Amino acid sequence: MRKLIGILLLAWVTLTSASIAQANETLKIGISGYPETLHPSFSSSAVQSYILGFVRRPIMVYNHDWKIACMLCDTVPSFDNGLAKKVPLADGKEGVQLSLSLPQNAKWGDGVPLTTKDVAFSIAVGQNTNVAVADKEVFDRIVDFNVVDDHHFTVTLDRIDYTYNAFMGVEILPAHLEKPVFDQDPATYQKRSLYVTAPATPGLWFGPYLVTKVITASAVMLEENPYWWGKKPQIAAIQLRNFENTAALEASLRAGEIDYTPGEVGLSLDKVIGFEKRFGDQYDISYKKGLSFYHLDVNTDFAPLGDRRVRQALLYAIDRNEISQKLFAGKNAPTLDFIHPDDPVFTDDVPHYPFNAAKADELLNNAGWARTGNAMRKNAAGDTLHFTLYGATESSTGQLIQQVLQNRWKQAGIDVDILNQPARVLFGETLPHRKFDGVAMFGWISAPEHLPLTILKSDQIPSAKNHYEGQNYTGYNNPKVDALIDQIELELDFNKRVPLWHELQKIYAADLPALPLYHGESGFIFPKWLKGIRPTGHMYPSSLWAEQWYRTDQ
Amino acid sequence: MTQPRKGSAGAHPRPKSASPWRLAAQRLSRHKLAWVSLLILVLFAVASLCAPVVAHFLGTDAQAVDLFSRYGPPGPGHPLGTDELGRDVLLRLLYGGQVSLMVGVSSALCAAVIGTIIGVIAGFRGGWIDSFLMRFTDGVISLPLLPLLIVLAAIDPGKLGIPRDIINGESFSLYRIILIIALFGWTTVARLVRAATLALREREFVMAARALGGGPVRIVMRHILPNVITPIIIATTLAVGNVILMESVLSFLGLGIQPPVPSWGNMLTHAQEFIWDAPLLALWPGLLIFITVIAVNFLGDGLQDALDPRADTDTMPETGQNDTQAAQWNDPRETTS
Amino acid sequence: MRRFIFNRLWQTALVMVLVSFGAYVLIGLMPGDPIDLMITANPAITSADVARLKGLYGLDQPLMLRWLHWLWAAINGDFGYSRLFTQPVTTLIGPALVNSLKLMLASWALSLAIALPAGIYAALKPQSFRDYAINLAAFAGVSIPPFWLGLVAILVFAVTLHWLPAGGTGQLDNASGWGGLRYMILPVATLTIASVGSHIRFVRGSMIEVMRQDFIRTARAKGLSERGVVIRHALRNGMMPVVTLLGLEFGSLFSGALITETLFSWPGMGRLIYNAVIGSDYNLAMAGLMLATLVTLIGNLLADIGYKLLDPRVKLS
Repeated sequence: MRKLIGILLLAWVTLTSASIAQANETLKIGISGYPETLHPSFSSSAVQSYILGFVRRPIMVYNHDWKIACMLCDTVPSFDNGLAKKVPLADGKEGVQLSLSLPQNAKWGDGVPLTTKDVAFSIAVGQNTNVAVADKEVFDRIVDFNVVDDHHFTVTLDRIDYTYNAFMGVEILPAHLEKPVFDQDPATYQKRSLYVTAPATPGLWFGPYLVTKVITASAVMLEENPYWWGKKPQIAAIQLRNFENTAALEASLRAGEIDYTPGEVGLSLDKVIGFEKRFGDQYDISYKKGLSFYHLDVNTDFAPLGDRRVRQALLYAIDRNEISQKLFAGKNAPTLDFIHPDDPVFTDDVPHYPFNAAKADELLNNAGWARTGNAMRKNAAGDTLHFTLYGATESSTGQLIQQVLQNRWKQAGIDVDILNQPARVLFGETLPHRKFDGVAMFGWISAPEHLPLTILKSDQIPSAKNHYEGQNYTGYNNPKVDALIDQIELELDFNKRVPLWHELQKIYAADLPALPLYHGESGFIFPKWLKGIRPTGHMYPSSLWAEQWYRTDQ
Repeated sequence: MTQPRKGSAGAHPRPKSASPWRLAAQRLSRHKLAWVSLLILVLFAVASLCAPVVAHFLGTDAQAVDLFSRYGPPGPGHPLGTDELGRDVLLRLLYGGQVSLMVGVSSALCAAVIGTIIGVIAGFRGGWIDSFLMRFTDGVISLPLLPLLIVLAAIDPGKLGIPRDIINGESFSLYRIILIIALFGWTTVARLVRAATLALREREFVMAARALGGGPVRIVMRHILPNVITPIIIATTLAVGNVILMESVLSFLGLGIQPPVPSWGNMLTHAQEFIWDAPLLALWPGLLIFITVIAVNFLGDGLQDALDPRADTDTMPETGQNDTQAAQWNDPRETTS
Repeated sequence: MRRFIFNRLWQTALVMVLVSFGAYVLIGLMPGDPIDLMITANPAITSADVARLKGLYGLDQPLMLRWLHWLWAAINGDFGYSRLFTQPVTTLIGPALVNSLKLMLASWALSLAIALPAGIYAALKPQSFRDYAINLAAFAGVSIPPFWLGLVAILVFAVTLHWLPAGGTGQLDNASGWGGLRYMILPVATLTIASVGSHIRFVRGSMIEVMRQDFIRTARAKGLSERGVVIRHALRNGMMPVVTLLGLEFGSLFSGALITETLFSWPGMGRLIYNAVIGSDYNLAMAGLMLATLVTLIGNLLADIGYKLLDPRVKLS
């Protein structure tokens, strides 16, 4: 018996050491979340972009300097370099034709060259009316597509706006693998695609890494792509593991089972700050300001909040600075509006709302919500000033902030209930159907100088009539803003655009269809030996530059 | 009226003559642990009810956020320190105790009422009503509990026609939890009550009452219920512990009592989020849940020993395929792991 | 016996059908409308499309008819497509089920291996010191909030001592043999601690019950040793309720252990069903719930049959 135990122990030790040796070649990344699908066209979420960043590349991206750059093309077209030109369209309007070229040596993960055929196929898929791609608008704007040769193509877009040269959103699919599947029956393609049925097929991918193993909802395994044409990656294999519980993610990090957790889809900022306090000396921790805008969408059709004075009072009554200082160690500083301070079109010449209880009191009194003693405010009809503060169950940070806000508003005599719903319910039902009787707290991440067209324009208010299209959940309806957005969109001259942006911000900050909280920062926890990762701060994640990553311990 | 065959607690129609109860008290007195448990539970309950007094004394309230003293250490103003939002931990534990104990007791009571009604009807009426109700009970027992609780906790009450302003109210999640746990927790009581009723039905005193022309409701109220009360008390006591645990599990899944209303379950859940920054925050609610549940279990165990010495196994007759289960008080299903 | 089994079989089938209807109605009450969710995914949709889609998915029909469609498809093995993971429901359930079974069977076996001897040992001398000690341990086990226990286990054994992995199945590292087993130790231990208490209490209770019976007294009077009495007479009878309990718990093996799976990142049925419910993934939620119910019902059936077989008073004809 003792002998047997001895043998078992030996086996244990050897197997354990074997797995440690193997682990050294693999970078293990802990993420929180798992995408609905690995098919690039059918869904887009932060976690999906993060995973796909390793294994495929968009045609163009915003780079680390928040400028448009080519990834799967040679030159960004512009009117100046002649690769973009204005062309008349069939309906008499003016469109833009872009000439693009794919890298000569681009190949799929199975060695098949990546050519304009693939681009043509991808556009055909996106434009097919039986296919529900995540971003249909991108494809609707393409009025013409022409193949010049295997590596050159032109594409004509239906309008000339200030981002006319950003050909983004068309994800390249491998025609040699997916076309037969698609042609069989476009309507059911989404279910039969190899991205769904056999995601570890090498020919589906073309990044520095290939997907080699997928365990649905828990992990994705990546290995070096032998046909990658760019810089050879330094790290041979990458493991992405999903954690549904952040305490477990943190434990795995401390236990050394994962090496790294990225700010894009890892621990929330407050967790990283807490982690830094305790183990900051053992890790490299960095923070990145980002284009994620956290705010409270106000349902302006909910009577008490339809009054602009009440919305302004709500903002005066909360101390966003205190939240930043105390919950986020000074990060996530209060923001003026949806434009990030680092964005070139930002202005701070807009109404500010620092914490000011007296001002809130005055505004509420003017709006007819009087207060006697410490009771909740009532109007002349005797109704209490009351609304519901919605949020996502998944966001523990959000729930902290909610309780702080609720407390502050109670002090100001405003009765607030908190109601948290799973993200799917909040974003799939409550917000699009505008069923929220109060305000909803969430954030969205965008690109630099991104036009909030779907969020602010009055024809983007979701309703049964437009099939709940658009994200103007607040019901904001201001003809001036509608006009400004149209003007900005079509103004190609940056210097002429800037004043329009400033005007838009001023109106926004005065009207407050949403109460701005902060622009979110994200925290990255690196092991000391992992270098080369550069956070971007926008919707294009750091994994798109994964071939630059390296480790210093080998 | 005939004397019951055995002098056990269960069988006398009117417990006015105190002897069975005194006997029970004597038996219970042998269980020191049960007494200690009862004492602890009473203490917790009283302390929870005193929360407003403590709040007044400390000069703060359980929801007063103070971001300047997050994770504060214990001190004169905050005897147990402060939590992640600078709220007083002691006060929140007391208010949380109110909520947790309230949820535990009311769910168990609701379940007991449902179970008693179903059990009495099945046992007293017999025939097809009995077999239908018992098959129904079997059906409910065979449901996977936790997944169904999740479904019930996740459904949109708005689709049931409940007005929005009620749903969005602060205590809605509280009533919801009580209701859904009661909806599934009644089966144990139903089986016990039915088995006991079945046995009582044939007893002489019930027959006599019937012969004297007593209506069924009267017979049930006067003769059956007083005699099945012991198994109900025991099962209900034991259920309280389970419910408190279940509430903590549902809170962990984000489906329990919604903040800012504190319950031990949601305090523990939030504390595990911050377990690295402030491990003590997780200790207190965890400990209170643990002590309460274990005390409830000891009390139930002691009560069982004292009130139901199991000598009269003939109150558990062979009447159906599954009735061996009637002999157990605790729902054996592993629901919360 | 045959008639008994036949009767129980059709009862089981009936319960199953009723439960599926109940679950169908409940799941229909979850937030979100499947068509709305499709619409948000496709802004270019027209109202004609909406009508077409509603027709295609049968959403224009009454609930009863929709349920019958679902039932018919399910009987034919078609559980539909998971909206959440964009995969057929059946391909998702397979691996999750295997993972859950691994975990649950291991903890079940371990828990019984502890509970049987401990429960019997305690039952032989009720009210003794050893009975109190075992009871205390059993009550302690069932009284700990399970996620708290799991978290403490991770903190101690994975983070502080580095003895065991904090989570995962080891599948990614191609861990096999002992390497794979290491990943099971903490979750299995957590599950076992949570369940062993009620098992001990149950075994103890049913043994005490049996030891009081007349035939045990008779056996003792015949001069059999205490050991002989326990082994030959008490065990067989004392195990009958235990068989029933196992039958009842059989289903939980298939519905997984949600809390433990979540804490230890173990992709099993518990997490799958939970994610389906929270994500309003109707097909997946229905399939998961029905599988768990079916297996529980089969477990009950087997327990009843086993009970009949074990019970000396029931003649097999």
